[in-house]
Amino acid sequence: MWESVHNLYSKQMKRLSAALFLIIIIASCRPELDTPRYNSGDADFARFVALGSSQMAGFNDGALTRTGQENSISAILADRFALAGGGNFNQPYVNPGFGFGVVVTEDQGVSQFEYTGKLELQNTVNCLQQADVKTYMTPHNPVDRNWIGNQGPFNNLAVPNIKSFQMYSQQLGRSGSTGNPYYARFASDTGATTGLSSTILEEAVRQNPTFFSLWIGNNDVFSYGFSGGSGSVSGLGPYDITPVDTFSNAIDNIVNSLTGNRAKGVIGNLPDLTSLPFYTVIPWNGLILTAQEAAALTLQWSNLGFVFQEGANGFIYVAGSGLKQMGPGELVTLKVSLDSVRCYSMGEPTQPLRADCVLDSSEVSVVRSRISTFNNKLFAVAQSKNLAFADLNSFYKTLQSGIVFNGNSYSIEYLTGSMFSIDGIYPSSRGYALIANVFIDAINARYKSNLPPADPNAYPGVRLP
Amino acid sequence: MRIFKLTLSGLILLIAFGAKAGSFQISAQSIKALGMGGSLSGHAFDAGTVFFNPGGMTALKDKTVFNAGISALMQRSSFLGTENQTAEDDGGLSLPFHIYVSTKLKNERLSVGLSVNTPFGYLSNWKDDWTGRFISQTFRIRTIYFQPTAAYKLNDNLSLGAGPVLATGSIYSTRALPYTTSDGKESSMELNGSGTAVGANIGFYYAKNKLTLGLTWRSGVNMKIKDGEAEFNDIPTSLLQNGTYPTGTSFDSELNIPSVYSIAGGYILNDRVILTLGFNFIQWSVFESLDYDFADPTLTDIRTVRNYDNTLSFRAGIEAKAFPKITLRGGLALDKSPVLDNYMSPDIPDDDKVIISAGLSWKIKDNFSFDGSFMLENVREHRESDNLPYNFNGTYNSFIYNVGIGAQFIF
Repeated sequence: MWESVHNLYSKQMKRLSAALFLIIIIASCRPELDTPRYNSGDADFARFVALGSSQMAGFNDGALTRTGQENSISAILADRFALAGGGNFNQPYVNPGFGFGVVVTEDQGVSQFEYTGKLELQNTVNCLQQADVKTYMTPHNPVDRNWIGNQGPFNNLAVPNIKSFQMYSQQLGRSGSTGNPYYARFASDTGATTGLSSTILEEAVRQNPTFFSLWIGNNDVFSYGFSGGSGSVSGLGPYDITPVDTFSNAIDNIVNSLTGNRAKGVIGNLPDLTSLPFYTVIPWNGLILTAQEAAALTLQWSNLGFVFQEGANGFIYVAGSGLKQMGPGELVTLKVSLDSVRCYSMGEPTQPLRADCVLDSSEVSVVRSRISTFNNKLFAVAQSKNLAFADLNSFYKTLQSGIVFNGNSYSIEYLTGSMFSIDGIYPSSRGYALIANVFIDAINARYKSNLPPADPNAYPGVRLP
Repeated sequence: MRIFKLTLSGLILLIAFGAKAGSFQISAQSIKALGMGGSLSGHAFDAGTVFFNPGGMTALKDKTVFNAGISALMQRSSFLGTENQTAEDDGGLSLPFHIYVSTKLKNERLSVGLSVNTPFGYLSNWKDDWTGRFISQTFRIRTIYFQPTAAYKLNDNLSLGAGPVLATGSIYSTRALPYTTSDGKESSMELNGSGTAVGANIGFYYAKNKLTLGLTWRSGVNMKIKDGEAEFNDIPTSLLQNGTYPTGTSFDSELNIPSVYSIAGGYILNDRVILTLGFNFIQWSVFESLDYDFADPTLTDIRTVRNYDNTLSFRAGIEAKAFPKITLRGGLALDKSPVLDNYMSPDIPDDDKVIISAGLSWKIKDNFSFDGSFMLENVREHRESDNLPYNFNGTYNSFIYNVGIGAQFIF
């Protein structure tokens, strides 16, 4: 029997292997899937400009970096628009690397800029001898601040840190202390001869855009919030909340200018940023005391009405010329060092938290009410101009309970929640993709386009040491 | 004509009940069956009947029949996500095999036999960096069933066969975790576990004149996977140090493999042609969820909800002795998927299948022949199928290829 098997094998080997080969060729065929045809509906994405502040510019990890710009909401939108007639999208890129962030200090009424690179994390052992992480600042590359205004026009005209009314300020593009260093680097005219720079809005209108995205107003409220409410609740200074009339007029002016040539667009409203990790990592009652410590402090400070108990207690902070104890709903910012709170009595009456590190209940409520007022204005303008309206306020609320997208979970959890970058304020690149999807949904709903959303899994995650 | 009517009513049944089969069941349990649409519970062609219908063992003409075979099972899948992202799998090769032996004892009323085969298994193999990587990268189920069997001829027409099943199996699953290290590596998880279980296979076989009928029940098994190995790779040091993740732990799981009920028949048209027809009812509803419970209490256990639906499959085949030494086979099967809308998971991208197959046997000697078969399973394109638990949506399309060779010895 084995002989016959062997004979057959030799005779038929060639035919058999040919047949097998054929079968393997067939088997390497793969099913094809046809990409849908995407269309822009009633919109036209041929000339798109993106306007706004830090978020639209792609700011995260405390800096404007090349990675952040490449994965900005604006860039993600442009990438989707390209599937339905969108054109070239030129951004005022910084060089690959650490990018740059700005720390502004006031010295006798004059703004002083201090530059840093992006924040990174490193492993450390905290004061409780526990394994922990801490942020550190990388050096910035001064070349990133060089003027590139001759490389325009730029489609992404979003500028970190700006407020609504600054979009048409002729001081903003100046390279001195009156300007914004993120805009001065790419303004077409820095005002060297006239003392008046080009404005963001005029650079947008000059491109005769067919479509725009506008997410402005976060800094009109939150530069106040980030400073712990140290500015005025109605003013034009860097830490003030923009007066309602000023904001209202600014939005009208911006949207009228952009729609003057019948451009279509999308407007985003303002999220309640008090739910960011920046405000939630340290709880209001993070002052942890032993029974003895509590008793001693109560005895010492009962004249001010402070009562301390074993366990969690509200921090003590500076309020005007006196001290106050924090209550529920009040917020501590991440400007407070975690170690100082954990081990070095920070937040006890002898070392109260600084006023600019705390949002007390009246500050929180003014922030919330102003967001609501500004959002009403943004909604009204979107309605009257028939623009798409991206409800980011609702989107941020869904993050409270967490959302799942393409198998990943997003929440406000600091560092591991996937949504926010290391600075605890600005979204990660994946977070920006989710926000871009809110814009895309709004655009599809308003203009009957069928743009696909972005896949956050295609964007970089938060890097942990 | 009768067969035609049966086929027709079968098709109507299939449509009427919206019945389904599929998922991680493997069709290639006999090379002859592979050539005839996948099931031979209704007619005893060879020792494969030990598995397909133990009652059929007494109907084998020869004293001892031995069959063995192996097939190459290749799956090719494509994915197009709602976000316009595309993905192709890396393909995967599984090698399901089977060994069957059936022998008649002296009085010819009793037969004994053994079946060793791989009735359930699956392999999907997406690229590590694909869009669904947080749900699944590689996913593999393997099983081997050992089944000693006896069959008894109750009367001239009716036989009963039965055997206990000892099943061993394993699960291997990898996925990415949404953490990135300082040097840009994504974390991942690798799960590997195995277990055993017992079951049974019982079949009635009826033969009269030109007609043969089979009624079988292959029990489901509940495979408990104990102390599987869970490995976590490229976890950022900070998460290891603060105890969010360990580098490894163990896990328990449970693989619920469904019962299969078959009703099938064969019809000897003439001395050259045999027709077969069968229906399988597969109790897939036992596959509610595939969970991984970690021993390390700091880790969140993983639940992957399946909510499978019971299914029905329909299989028809024809065998023709075309030449003195060559027998040709053809088959057609409709295999409904147990996967419900909203629970399509990329680890088992299954949908209704249309299956065509062909095969041949080559009689080398009176007591020795070769079998070869080819089967193509076209998994229906599943448009916009959603996975609600993971909010992962898109369109899947797969081809499954089966090429098998086998040998038969008669003593």
